[in-house]
Amino acid sequence: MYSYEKKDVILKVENVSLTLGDSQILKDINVEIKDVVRPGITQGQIIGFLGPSGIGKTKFFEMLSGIIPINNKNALGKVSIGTNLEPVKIGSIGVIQQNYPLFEHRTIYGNLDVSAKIKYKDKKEREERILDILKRFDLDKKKTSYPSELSGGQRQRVAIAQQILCSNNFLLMDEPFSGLDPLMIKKVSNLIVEVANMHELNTIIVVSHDILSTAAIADTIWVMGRDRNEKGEIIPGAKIKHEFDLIEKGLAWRPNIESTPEFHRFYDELRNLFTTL
Amino acid sequence: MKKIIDLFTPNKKIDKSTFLIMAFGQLLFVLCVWIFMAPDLIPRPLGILKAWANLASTGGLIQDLYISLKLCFHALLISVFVSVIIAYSTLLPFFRPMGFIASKARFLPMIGLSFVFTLLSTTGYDLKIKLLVFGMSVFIVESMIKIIQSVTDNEYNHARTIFGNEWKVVYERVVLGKAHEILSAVKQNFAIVWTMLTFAEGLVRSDGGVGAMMLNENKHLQLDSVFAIQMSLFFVGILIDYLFGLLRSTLFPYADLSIKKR
Repeated sequence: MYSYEKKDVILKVENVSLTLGDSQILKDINVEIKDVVRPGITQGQIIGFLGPSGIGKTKFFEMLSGIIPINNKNALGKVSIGTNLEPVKIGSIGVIQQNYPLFEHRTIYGNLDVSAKIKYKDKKEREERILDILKRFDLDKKKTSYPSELSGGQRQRVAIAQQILCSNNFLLMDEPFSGLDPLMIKKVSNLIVEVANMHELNTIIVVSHDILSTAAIADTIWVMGRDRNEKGEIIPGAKIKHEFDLIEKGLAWRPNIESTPEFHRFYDELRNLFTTL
Repeated sequence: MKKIIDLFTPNKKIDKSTFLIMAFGQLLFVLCVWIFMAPDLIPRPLGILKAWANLASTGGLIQDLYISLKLCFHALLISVFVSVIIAYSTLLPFFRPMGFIASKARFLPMIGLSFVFTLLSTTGYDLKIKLLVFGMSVFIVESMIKIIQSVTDNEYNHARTIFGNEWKVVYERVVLGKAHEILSAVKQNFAIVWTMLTFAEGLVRSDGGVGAMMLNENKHLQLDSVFAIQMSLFFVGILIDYLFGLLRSTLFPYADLSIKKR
């Protein structure tokens, strides 16, 4: 086991509900993330956010990021982030969407520059940050290329770099493993872990239905589901039904965790859980 | 034999030399049909060439072509300006009905509006400009609105997570992001001006122009000359199309990258 300490709450979701038309999509979601501190190590966090297709993961994702603003009409509750727990607003959480939209009319450098301008007003500092992140993400040779000249993996890295440059330590990733072969999944997993560990307060929320890949890199798992009535019928309105602390279970921060029997037992537990959601 | 089968296989890529031979063969076939099988009334290529030389040397074709091109580009500049304002303003809910009506105005026949435009104009040139601007703008607005609406929610949301401010989002995603498509829409719709030119120049023949020239030659059944003018417009049109393409690839080098990949 590793020594660690859970400190301040850095993301808090309180009573978040969403109604679209007559449909209750989300209902009374309450979760929080605490900063995990490990002595001598820069340890970011990865939250795996699982749930069956069509349950409302993307809508929750959009509420977390401020894309759907809390308006006290159909979108209720409170989402706060950072050590001061300030209300979330669009732009304060980085969002990496599934198909990695970029600005196709800008070069890779231009894509990063337009995003870095939000936080770094000084041109020289901005340039240094961009060149540093290009190098870290092995994109320095592509800085003058346009997005349509990149492979899927390179686009993903640019999308992550772009959001890192403008957001405040929080990144939401929508289905980062979707449509990838096992080798690419491994590469993307390594990238997510690397990005999380770039800064102590970095927190990455991975929304996915790939249980295995998500659980392998996460230190916390949220499972979204819906309640059922006495007849077994689904009650509308998804919520976080289960939360697993993988650090406590000894299943976090271990390389090649996928090959251990205890991970497989946990994976089976999660998979069986899906049938009840 | 395989190369011939390839020519009739969907999406088959053929090499450049095969393509050139095929295109030359098709051109030769059309010329043969034209020369040997077309009705006697239809002028032959040699007659058209002679008529073109005659019009160019003594008939004032070059001057009239210049007059018409100047008119067309003047009208195009105003049309683009008007269309951009109308189309971009549809991003604001207040102006959406105006954009909708402007794009639907393309169903109005020009002939029915010529009297209204005559009343609104002070000179013959002014009348022609107004007619061409109206005729082109209604089509350009329609294309531009479609381009603006083609920005997906995902693309907007991506820009929102970076800028936060909706004006900046629109500037980045629509104004900058779609500029190359807007230029393509202008290029595609510029051809419409040729179809309206005869009508507009026919109303004010005193200013000259190839439209007026074509109507005069048609009136006297000088079909060789009519075809010669048509051919001039055809080749000028191709040249303008090419220049628009050149402008697009120079201003927006990213525009065709994904197409080339396909």
